[in-house]
Amino acid sequence: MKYESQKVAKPYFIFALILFAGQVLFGLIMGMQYIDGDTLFPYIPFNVARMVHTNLLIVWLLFGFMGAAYYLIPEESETELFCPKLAIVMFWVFAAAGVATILGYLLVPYAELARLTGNVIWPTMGREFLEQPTITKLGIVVVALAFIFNIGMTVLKGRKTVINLILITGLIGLAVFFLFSFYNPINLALDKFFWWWVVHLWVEGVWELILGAILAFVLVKITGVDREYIEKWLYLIIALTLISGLVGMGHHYYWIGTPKYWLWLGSFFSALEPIPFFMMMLYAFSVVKKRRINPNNKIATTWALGTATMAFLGAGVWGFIHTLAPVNYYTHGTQITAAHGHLAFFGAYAMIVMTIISYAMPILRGREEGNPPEAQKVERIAFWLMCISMIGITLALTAAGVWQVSLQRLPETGATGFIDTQTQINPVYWIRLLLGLLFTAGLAAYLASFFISGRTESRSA
Amino acid sequence: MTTLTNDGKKSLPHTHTPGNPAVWVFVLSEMSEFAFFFIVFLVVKLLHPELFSTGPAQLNTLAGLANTALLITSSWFVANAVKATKSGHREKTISWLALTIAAGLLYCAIKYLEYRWNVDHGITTRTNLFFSLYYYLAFNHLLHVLIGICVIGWALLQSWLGAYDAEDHEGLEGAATYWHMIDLVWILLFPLLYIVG
Repeated sequence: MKYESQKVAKPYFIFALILFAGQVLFGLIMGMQYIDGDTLFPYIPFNVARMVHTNLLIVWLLFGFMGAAYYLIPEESETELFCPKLAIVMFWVFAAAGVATILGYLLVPYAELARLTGNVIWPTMGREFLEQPTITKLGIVVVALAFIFNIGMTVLKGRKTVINLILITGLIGLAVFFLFSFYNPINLALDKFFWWWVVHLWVEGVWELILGAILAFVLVKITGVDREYIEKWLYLIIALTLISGLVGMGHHYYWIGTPKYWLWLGSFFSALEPIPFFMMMLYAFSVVKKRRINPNNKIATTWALGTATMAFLGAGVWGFIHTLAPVNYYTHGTQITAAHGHLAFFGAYAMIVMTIISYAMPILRGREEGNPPEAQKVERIAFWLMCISMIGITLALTAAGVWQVSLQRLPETGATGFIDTQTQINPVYWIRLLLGLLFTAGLAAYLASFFISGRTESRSA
Repeated sequence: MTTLTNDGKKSLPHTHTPGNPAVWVFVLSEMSEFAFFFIVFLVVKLLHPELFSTGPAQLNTLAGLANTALLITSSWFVANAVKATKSGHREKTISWLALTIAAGLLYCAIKYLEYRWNVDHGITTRTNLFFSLYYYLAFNHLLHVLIGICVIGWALLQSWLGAYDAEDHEGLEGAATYWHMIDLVWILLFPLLYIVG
């Protein structure tokens, strides 16, 4: 570790992984509820489980991104973090707000939570991903502002590189787009229009900048390839991401009451969205091929290449499958969307956080040479278990989606209703649940790998 | 090929994966996508055998056959382009790539004429399930040919700029691999749509 203040990343990474485990647990609960809707009712109804599952996803990724930024910004800027104490204080504020909100979801009926937190004064609750009470949202803004201030001041006083400038651009974008969660117009079409600006302009726009910057940082460190070579690729990828993603996001606007030109704009630009993901994969493999060093931390390379590949499959291929308006007319909001959502979030964003953790965490724990081979072996098993089971979940959900479309969407007359369709799809949900258990085993192995000590530890402790 | 070293031990065969591994991920995901479409096609065929037994005969087999011949020839062109680069002949590479693009464009022209012929014979996307799937699969393939033409065009530009030499031509190999994939998919599509009734 080059700078003492990089240490503040550690609690962020640890808490991110705890929340990740929580997210997977609630994923399993929902997996059971898809088979039997009454599972755990009335204690954890489906809508609450879903809310906790998706909210934990977003929050653990935010913790991961913050940890990544606190780790790599000082090293890139070649200076200590502007104010490490602020980072620690904000960690506790964010963690406390997050835990309180999740407990609120689980312990109090949602309407009561809205009443208790004064939603009536400034109503922002009740929308997917944005279920947090207004006061939590304000807390997130405070944390985000303090975070960007801290990171921004560090970059300003230190070296400016392509990597840290792209990262901070992405983080500022993240904060700016979150502000639209406070805008809640009565007109439903307008509400939906701007609702898509929060999570979906993140994942198809600014988060890709964050992903690109973190991946580039890790690749520079683990391959020793010239920064200039990696930066050239990064510029190209980021440019293509923004060109395709910002307008391509219009593929969400097809059926919400927007003008018809969105059918063309959304289809054309989102069809281009796989290109930057493909380029990211192309450059990750070619950078690793050109490597000048061969560090002991081999698993970090696996994660980096895995991220590029799985992001392409999940965000690129599975996004493209149902992005064109004539196809989306039939598939919108079916299990095909869920298939894409799972592989894209896991492949692009969960995996990039695990990539930086795999690279940085050993260093933060005093293992400059990387984790011992025994720990890396377990981590490698975890990597493959999680990747294979997530591809399996995606394929199962795709099959469920196609089945759903054929029963519920395609027939001009006599289409099966939603719930009846879900009942018929039930066998696929069993397969999905089994794969979910396999994923949980992978996650357990991944978490266990942190507790395996070995030769490297004793050498560098 | 497995070879013996001086100390009598077997050495591993020399393996070379053409192009960047990322290209293979792309190609395999494309092929999985088409495999998935073929499964859908066969399932629907099983459910509506009468439509699928009469459908192929109503299509323009000559157009399908001409496009099959064109794509197979274009694969030969692109393979020759890679061969030319390996022997250091830049001009030849450019010519072979230009021929590949010409074949691709001719394929598109035949597709256009075929679609016009279809309309004249009352075949549209909504005629029946067979023709809906025929249009979906064939149009999807046409899009891939268009992407392929752009990719080969990019490889031609790179060749022209002198970016490849006999040792280092990963980009060209990647482009050729993608083109072969397009050809392979068509070879499966052609009998499925035009022949097997």
